[in-house]
Amino acid sequence: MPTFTHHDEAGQITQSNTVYDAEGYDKRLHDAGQSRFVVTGDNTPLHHERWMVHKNEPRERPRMLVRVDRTKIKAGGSDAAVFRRVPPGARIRIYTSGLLVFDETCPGTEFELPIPVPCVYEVHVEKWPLANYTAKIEATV
Amino acid sequence: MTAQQYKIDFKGTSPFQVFDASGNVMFDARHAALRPVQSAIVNLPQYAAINTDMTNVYADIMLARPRPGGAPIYVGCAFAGGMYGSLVRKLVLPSMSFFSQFVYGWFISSFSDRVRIYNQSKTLQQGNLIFPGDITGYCVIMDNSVSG
Repeated sequence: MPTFTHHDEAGQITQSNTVYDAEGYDKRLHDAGQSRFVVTGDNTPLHHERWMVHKNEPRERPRMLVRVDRTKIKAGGSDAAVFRRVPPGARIRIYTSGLLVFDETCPGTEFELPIPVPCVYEVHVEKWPLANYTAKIEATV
Repeated sequence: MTAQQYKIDFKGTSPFQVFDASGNVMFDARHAALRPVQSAIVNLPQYAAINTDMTNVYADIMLARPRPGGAPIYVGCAFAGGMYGSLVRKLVLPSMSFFSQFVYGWFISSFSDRVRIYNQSKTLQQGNLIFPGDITGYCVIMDNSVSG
């Protein structure tokens, strides 16, 4: 079963679709104006968080080497988790309880994360084409 | 619910199943006498701006076979990221059908040649709080022509 993987100019996968009866499917995609895709023999779709398209071939996205010194801190005060080896220019997004509370670009390679009240922050570090990094930081009383 | 609470079995030609976090099968294509015909992972874009229209927040999954004349098709979807949810619905084509569960921030519609899934994950904005935008859609498209 072929898999049709759609991507944008940068190689980011927008959709990966395994088609069980694929005869003529590539023509249907072209007719629908969808011409930027690659066809592989995989029988399962390629996940965009792990894969990209480079020179018309699927390729695993390089790992991000971000490290955090700890995942539990004290809420309030001066305690903070420290993230290192952040790619310069990475986008940092922080969520708590499903809500976006921070969305900025990190100019350097480190950032500190204090948390004012007891809760869990989910930190996302994104820098294309590196695979996204995610960590949960819990702040306690 | 969390992003980890739903998964879809995409392995090979095995019957389509949706599990909850405890491993309970929420939906089984075999019991519904359905045949998986396509499976897709879709990276849905987030809303470009608050209160924008719907034109830039959907993705189309082209059907391998157009289904004019009202042939039913079944779409199973689980979504991760943003607000979370899971859904299995029968869509009758070619008329457009909407199935919305806005509490989860997405819905799907169907045409004769494609299934369209939307990301509405910012429509639940409250005050200055914005629900996350990007979500991943895991979709299996099935029909009821059980053969092979």
